[in-house]
Amino acid sequence: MKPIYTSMYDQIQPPEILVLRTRLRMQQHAEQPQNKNKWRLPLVAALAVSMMMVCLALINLDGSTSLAPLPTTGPIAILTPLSDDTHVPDVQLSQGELHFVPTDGYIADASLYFDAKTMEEHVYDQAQMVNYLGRDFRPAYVPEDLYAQDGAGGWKVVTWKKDGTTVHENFSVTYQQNFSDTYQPLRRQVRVEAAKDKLPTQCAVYQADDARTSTIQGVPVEVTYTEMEYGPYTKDRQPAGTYPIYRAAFIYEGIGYIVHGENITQKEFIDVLCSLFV
Amino acid sequence: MEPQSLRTDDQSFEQVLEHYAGMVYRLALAQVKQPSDAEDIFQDVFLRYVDNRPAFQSEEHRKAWLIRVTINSCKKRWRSVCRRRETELLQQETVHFDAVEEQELFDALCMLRVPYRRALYLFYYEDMSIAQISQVCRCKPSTVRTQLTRGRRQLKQILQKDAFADETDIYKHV
Repeated sequence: MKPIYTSMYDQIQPPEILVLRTRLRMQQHAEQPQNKNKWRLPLVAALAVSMMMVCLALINLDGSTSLAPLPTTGPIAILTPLSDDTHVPDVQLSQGELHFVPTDGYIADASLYFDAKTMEEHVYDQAQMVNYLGRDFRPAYVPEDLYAQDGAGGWKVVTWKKDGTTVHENFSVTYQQNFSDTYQPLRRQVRVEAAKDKLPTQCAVYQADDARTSTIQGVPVEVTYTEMEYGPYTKDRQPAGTYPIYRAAFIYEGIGYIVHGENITQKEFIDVLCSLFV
Repeated sequence: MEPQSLRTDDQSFEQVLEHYAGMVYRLALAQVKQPSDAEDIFQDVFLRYVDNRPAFQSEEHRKAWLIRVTINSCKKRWRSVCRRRETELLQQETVHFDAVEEQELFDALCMLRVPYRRALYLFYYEDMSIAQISQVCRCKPSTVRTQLTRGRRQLKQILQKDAFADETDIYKHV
């Protein structure tokens, strides 16, 4: 195989016209002044002034300093720099750390199905849901362009008909850009599912290559990242592309959560996740 | 090429382009598969190099930066809505090789999923170690090892399947 690889290596070269065109454009870009440089000096000056104002605000008239204690609870800050077009496997938070375990996707779990003969479906309204779970499970933050599906349908709990034992419990709310039945793999969406005292049962199980547990405020959280393929597929089974799926599962103060984000940035996902802890 | 001559200044841009053009183009092509897409990413990577003017501690550092930016550009392109529409409209282009085995191997590589294809490319074409790949791809070495194992296994299955299909065709003609 190695000689073939070497041969292929030699054969795949960028077209000369492409290199030439790129060289010309690089020269043009190199001759242009760097925009970020012209902001450096004012930025440093602005930072210095800001720091000075903060220090002055903290110093009392009698000259003693009164530094307020850092809040032990409250908004969780993301300490690792994140950008919209990159994915970082390990993210440091002010109150924890996240290790995004890569997964290849999910497999169906046939153990969960609804038997109309032995099960009955209960629909809770918002007040019943809060009464049952102990608090509202919905996140305090979602990206601005996403909105919740009409909650008129309420939240469902399926129980055994005979003894009332809960076999499947899945309170869920989905936030999307738009709601339709058409196939939209690149649609941005966030889904939060909840169950009392345990993780919500699901019809699909994610397969992770390795398992590293993350923590937020000391609570163990399983976080995964998947590059999911989407169609239409070509004849040789090639997808049209991939999109990111972020997922977190954890139990926090008596409620099991599964947070699922598609086509949202890593920062947006972490913000949604952390808003459940505030 | 001496490392000192590759310092990030205006005079060395052309040298960097000359030195890494093949690597960036092949890495882009290994991920997006279509030459026209690879050409767009190629230009994007080197223009970002000029615009950012990053400073590097070593030549390995520069190479890792270019690989990382190429990978990110490919991901960004896949995620864009425009790209999806183009894919639906345009017919698939391909790269042609002289030898049949080379063409079969390249086509089989293109059938693998992007993470496997990327890991195999960096391991075999760029002669990078698992540790180096895990650094530029920002994942654990065990993940890279898994991607290589699964990629090789799937590649073997695809090539064996093709070989079996060829034999079947021969028997049909006989």
